[in-house]
Amino acid sequence: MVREGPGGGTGNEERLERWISYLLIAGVLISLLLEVAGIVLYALASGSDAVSQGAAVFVRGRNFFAFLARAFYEVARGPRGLHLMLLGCALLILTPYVRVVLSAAYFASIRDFKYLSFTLFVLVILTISLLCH
Amino acid sequence: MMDMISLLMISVPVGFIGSLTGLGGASILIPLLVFFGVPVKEAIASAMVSVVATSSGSAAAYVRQRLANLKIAMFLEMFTSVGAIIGAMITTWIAPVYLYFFFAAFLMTSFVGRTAKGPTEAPAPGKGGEALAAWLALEGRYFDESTRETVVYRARRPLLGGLGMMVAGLAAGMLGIGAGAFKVTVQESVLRLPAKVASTTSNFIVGMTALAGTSVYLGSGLLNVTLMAPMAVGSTIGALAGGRVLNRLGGRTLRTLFFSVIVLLIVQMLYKGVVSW
Repeated sequence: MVREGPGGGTGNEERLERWISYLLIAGVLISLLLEVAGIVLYALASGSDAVSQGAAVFVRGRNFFAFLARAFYEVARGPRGLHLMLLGCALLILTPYVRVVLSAAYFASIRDFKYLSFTLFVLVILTISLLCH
Repeated sequence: MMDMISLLMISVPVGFIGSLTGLGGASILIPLLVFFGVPVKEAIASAMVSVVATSSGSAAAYVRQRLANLKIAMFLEMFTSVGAIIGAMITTWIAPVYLYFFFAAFLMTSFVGRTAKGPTEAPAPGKGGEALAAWLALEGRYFDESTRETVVYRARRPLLGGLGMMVAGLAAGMLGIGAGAFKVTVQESVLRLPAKVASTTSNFIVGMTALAGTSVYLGSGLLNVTLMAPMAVGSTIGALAGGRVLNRLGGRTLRTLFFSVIVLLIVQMLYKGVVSW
């Protein structure tokens, strides 16, 4: 289906829209499951569902990518409640980033260099801000 | 200190309202958390995950319904991210107190001349920048389920809108806020986008802006997992619900909701401005 934009130009981003909505739903649901499982396991293990102020619940990291890698590593070593929550949050935070990567791939695939350059610009700034603090 | 189940429950309406208004919701959530005894700095840092949840949870539905405009979002995001970086660099130059008042004043302009019109009606076209908007393809159409009409729109004054978004990014970078309200207002008043497009596109952008702040919070060591996870779950559920209902809601309902939150924000900004005077 080709839709006509108001100026006669086509505003057909249907494929990109489909990719992005699948990606977002998948990302959001996976992290939701991990977080819920994490909360349940954590509450069962600690015998309370109170928000903790203990040192173990605070996340620190050099940057986001190191944080993400650590979340995967911890869960792979043995899924404890806290680590599942951590991975769920990390994956959730990742969704907007993957969305930009996907948009760049899409604009490259349809050879829309104007929007490819806009998207790459945003991607570079996002990556820099995720790499340093 | 509160328990995780209550935290989850509180986050559901925040995610719902945040996704319907395009405001992110941190400005509602942070005072609530502080009220329930969460330390302020922890609340600010952890609320970031709730903003991302609100954005991503509802964006899937908005994108599929063609409400959120991906090209407009990407074009505007360039300006916002540059603004945020400049904002973070010049925080020491300008006293934030002026920004609070500027922000409050700007939010007040969203009331001017916008009471009689329903937000789902196509706004009166503004003059200027039409060739640029056409070249950038900042346009689209969507089916409004509340009026059963197809709305066709094209952004006006894209450069001015870009500048406005840069200021929003600047405010976000300096004050550590998402500035979602600022973004919605720029898209409605400057770009003259239909209200549903403005709020859903802003909802999309707010997620990217929140992401950019992650590393700062990671470095600060203030992110509390037992706070973040229940907030993420609640906000996601609220946002998934919001994404399903927004298009069916009438203009009057959305407008009332948006302005109630705006009034709350103006009071907050003025209060912060006076306190830091």
